[in-house]
Amino acid sequence: MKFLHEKLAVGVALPLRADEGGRLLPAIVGVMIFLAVLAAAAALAIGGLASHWDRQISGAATVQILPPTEGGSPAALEQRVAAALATLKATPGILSAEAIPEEETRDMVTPWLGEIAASGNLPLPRLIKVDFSPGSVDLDLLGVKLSVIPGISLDIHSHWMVSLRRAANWASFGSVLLMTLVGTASVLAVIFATRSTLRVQRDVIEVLHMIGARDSYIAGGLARQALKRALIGGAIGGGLAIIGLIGMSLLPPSDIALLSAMRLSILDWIIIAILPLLGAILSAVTARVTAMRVLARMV
Amino acid sequence: MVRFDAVGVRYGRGQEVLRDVSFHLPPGSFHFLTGASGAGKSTLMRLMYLAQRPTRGVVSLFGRDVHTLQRSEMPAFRRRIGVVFQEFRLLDHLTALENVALPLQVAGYDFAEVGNHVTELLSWVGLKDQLNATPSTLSGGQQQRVAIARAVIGRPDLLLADEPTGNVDDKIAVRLMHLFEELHKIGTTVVIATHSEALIREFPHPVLHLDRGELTLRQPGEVWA
Repeated sequence: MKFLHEKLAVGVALPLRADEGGRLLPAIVGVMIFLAVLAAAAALAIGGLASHWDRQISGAATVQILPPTEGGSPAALEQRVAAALATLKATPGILSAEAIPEEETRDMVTPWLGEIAASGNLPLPRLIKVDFSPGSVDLDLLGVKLSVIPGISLDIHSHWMVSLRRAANWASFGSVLLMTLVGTASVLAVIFATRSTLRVQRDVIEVLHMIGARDSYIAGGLARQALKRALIGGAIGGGLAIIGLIGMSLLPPSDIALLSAMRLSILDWIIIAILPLLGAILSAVTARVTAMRVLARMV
Repeated sequence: MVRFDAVGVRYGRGQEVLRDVSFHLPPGSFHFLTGASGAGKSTLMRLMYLAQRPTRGVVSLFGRDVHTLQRSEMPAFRRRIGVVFQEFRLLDHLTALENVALPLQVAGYDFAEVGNHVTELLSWVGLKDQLNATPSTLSGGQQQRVAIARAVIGRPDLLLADEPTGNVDDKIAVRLMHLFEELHKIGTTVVIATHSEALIREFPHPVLHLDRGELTLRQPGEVWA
């Protein structure tokens, strides 16, 4: 009796187990959720990476002072460095300004320029590493102030971010587009399966109508079935994708440099874990809306 | 209760299967519906249980022109009508008990409240040992009794039965007719489509007779043309 009560209470008045179209739904949704989870992970990781870069370099700049032309004295270069440091330290919002020792500059360029750089015969510019609070410094005015010093240039790192961010945005857009396509394909699969069920079960549905069943009762049964099937598919597809992502996150950093830089936050993991559930809810809502529309055209 | 005014039904461009059918069934009345195969009995029944609408004329049920019914109002109307289909139309994936409980369940009743009532009714129609049998394992007569139990479980205001005793032996047929009589006594309007002259003689009620789409009403004992 209890079994019967439970069976009827969930509205299984349609013989959905025998429904061929609907039985493929878990597999379709599983594949879709697998792809959607990977696409979402890519979008979130790329977005996180761009923000990470942004945070790192949006408050940084480098002042470069070219060495004097032939015949100039090294002392003149040091005077220019000192003048630049004085200007920088007098500017509100500058957190620190530190001249990079010449040896350190040499070490930085040696891998590219070779022994000639290490020998000391090649005149190198002096560099000043500047940190500032983003938004608190008028960088244009600072540039003008520094320009009185011969051979000086101000390189604001955030300018590099524009192209980096543009690339990251395109990558994120691609991932979101993929998710949208996957979502659309899932919705279409559910619509097809629901219509197929309603067509195959037309006689049963007419009987249900004749005994007083509301459209919402029949649609509710289909929606619950779609929810159950999508949850099964989503759990398998989403689970496999998450296992894959965890596997990639455990790879040694040297194996895939870009992937190792793309870390997912706890919030990202929560969003990814929710995706199969959202997919199942979307499937249920789609099944219900489709059924209500089709049933409205029946007797 | 049921009123037809100049009702006509035509399928496609064919001849009308019902022509100018007019009658009134008062609340609590009992009628047989007779006529040869193809006379329009099934169409008339379908009109009464709201499975289709007339091509012309007015069909009124419970005081409402069915043309004015909104879709959202249909379930409540249909729950007042019990239907025994000629081909039974039981749901094959449900047991006899579940089939009979279904009208109450779609109306929102909790099975715990009605389970005993359903079991009692199935026992009354002689299916106590087949409660958990699916229709495919039941004989034609047993399926017919399940279909009748499903139609009457909700104590409908209007009971429409198409050949409800066609597949059962005489003893069960009389028992089922007594069930319909009991429902009739408590106020249910009953219409039974049948070919059985014996049944009509044994239970004297007015007869709606269809002949090539036209309807005539005969009172009990009236001589047939």
